[in-house]
Amino acid sequence: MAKFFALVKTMFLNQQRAMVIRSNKFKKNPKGVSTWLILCIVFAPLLALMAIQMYFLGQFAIGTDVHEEVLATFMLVCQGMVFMFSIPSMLNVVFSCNDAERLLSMPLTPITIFSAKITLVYLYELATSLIMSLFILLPYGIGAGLGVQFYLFLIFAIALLPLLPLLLMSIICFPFAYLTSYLQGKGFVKTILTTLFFLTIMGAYLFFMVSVMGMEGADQDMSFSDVAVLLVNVFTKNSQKIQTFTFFNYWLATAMVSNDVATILLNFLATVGTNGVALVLAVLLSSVLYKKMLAKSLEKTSQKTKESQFLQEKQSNKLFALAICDFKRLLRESQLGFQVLAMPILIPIIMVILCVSLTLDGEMGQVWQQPLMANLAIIFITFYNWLMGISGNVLALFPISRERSSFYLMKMMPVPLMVQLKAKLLLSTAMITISYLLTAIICVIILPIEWYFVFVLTLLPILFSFGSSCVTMLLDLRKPILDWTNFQTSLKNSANTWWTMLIAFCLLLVTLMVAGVFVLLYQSAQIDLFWLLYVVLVALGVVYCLVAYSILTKNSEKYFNRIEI
Amino acid sequence: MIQIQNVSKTYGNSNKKAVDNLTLTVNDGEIFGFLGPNGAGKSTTIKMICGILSIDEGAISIDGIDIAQNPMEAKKHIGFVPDTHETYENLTANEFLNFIGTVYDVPSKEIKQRAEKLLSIFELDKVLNNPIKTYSHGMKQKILVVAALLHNPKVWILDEPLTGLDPQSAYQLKLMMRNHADEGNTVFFSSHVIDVVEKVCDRIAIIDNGSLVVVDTLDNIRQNKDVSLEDVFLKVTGANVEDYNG
Repeated sequence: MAKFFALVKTMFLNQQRAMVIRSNKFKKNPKGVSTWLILCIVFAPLLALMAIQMYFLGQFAIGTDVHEEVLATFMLVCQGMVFMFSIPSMLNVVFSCNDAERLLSMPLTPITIFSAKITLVYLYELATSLIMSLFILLPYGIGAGLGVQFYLFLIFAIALLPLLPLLLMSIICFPFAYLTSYLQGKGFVKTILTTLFFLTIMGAYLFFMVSVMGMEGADQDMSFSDVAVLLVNVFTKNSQKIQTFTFFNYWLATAMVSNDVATILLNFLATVGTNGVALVLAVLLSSVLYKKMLAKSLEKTSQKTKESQFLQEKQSNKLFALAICDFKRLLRESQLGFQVLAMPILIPIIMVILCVSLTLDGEMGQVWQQPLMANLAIIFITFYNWLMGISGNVLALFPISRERSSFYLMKMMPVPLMVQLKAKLLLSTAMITISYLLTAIICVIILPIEWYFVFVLTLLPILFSFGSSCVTMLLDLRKPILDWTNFQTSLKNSANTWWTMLIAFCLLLVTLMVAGVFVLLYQSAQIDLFWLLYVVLVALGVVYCLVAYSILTKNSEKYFNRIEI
Repeated sequence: MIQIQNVSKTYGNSNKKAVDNLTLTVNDGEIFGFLGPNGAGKSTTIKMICGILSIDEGAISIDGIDIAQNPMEAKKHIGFVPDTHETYENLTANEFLNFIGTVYDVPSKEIKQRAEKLLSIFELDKVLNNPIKTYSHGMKQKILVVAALLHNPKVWILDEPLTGLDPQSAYQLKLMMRNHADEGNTVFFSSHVIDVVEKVCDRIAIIDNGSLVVVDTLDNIRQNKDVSLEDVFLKVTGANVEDYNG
């Protein structure tokens, strides 16, 4: 056990200290703390809103018999998030790690290495569980007036929630990782397979969620209380399904709300047992396969071929050469390639689900009959699409950090910094354009809107994304993390992502205000000037692009020179 | 030619200078050996010459071009082989060399011609289409050497270039360094292997604690032919040789 704890501690500290050394011209300041403080303050209202909704739900559930169902379902939502987002971490931290050579040379058993790595992922996912529990489960318990044992078991739930999805994911990932360990040197094929694997898991997860909860339409005019009543009805109606499909959570939920000591104990033991079984299975698999997989990942295949000769590639200008080189490297890098490739596929899939729900019969389907609602729905889709794009586009979020140890080449090349940055902007914009264009085409096919909305649905998010890419590039230049051993754990929760979202929310606010003027015009004088709204939004997008690009141009050199390796 | 004038560098909030008031001239046509114990400031100096690190005080010029004032032009004259073997590992050697040729403005016809010649010297022509990450340390080192020479730089800077190379390749590399210098170019070479420095270099500098301790030809440094460069190195860097001898 001492080795296990030492390994976890070392890997955790190493991950946390992945920072860049800056020159003495820019002395350390407490800006890091203030950044997180600002972000917390800004995002607090969103979390508070979620908590209030849960409180109301709890109040409306008083007197009903759905506490176990509600808790079990929301635990499942939390587990679902851990489950889905742990795939990259699982594949990159546990199965395809950069430190395999070092670890295998040490007197450590495969079980110790595997357990330590799973623990590392678990520690990072614990934050998700904590936030979900504090802002969903806790307010529900307060609203529903649940007893002391709820709060006691909540602590247990926070610790336990991420465990089962992680263990399940590791069990699922074992055969996949074992197969792909034979693909050394075929990075692109591995990236494609990882993307397909991720999409399959996601599809299965969505199917599972729909099977448990069913599809329930909600009216946009609903108040908190209406939503709460609707949800209580949904939970009552789906009680049996929830008990069957989420039995692992249902037992814990029962232990949290039951009044009978025997029931509490029995359900608590059942919960521990379920996790224990998953743990034993994962450990058994690791003892058989893990060492082989790690060793396989270190095998190199630089076999000599007979007829190999230098092939002169068609020479392009430096900008395109840089972008193409970047693209090839990313697609062949297992830690990043799958995210780059998954994004253009995933966003349109999510939009298909959204579009289908917007064309369902009933009140949601009638949105398209009214010009006001139809135009607002288009703007909603546009900006929802944009938000998804910028928060998932690793090309734009970490253009500098992803260079890692080859960053020195950026400094070394006789190519002006702005040309290098433009190449990165070009690549991220090109990738996101594919995604937006696909989404726009899908929307025009599924939704009852005119074909020319393809341009609106593509151009607007591209413009705003380009602006956001400039901002994130500057953020990454300002504080890059270059010595990461694992992309997922080092970067996915970095301040870049949160700042991008914050700026996006501010822009959304401006957009809403602009749209509000046109809505008022329509409602007060029946003047339909929505075409002008799109023109104004495009103009806003262009201004955002120009301002962001100009800030990038002015400051990039300064920040770039600060980075010392 | 490399000219380093009163260059100083301090990292972060450290009170100690990593490089302290360094002045050095490396002439055309010579192989210049740069020696020093670990942490003496060798890599910092090399990174400043290459434009990777900014210079706090002083100036460095490459073939008369100031690296801080005109970095793009100066970098075109440099071929750099780092000590880390880090490169774009997911590219094949073929792709990487084509990319380097493009960013260093090597004319289209010359890329193939020069790459084929250099690759055959290091026997890399059979693994051209494999990703660089599948190469051994030595092979990665070789591909970095080829990439550094692809644009025929006037100044060649090598940081620990012989690490990981097999004897044949090490011999080839030393020969290439000699030929490059004999053609009127500059070779700046950092190493811990004193024997190699002794055999290959025309002039030698020893740096310790960020400051230049010695710079001269090998004969002048030794003064006495019975004294080896290793003895001089240990003496001027203040190593306690008696400790090693027990």
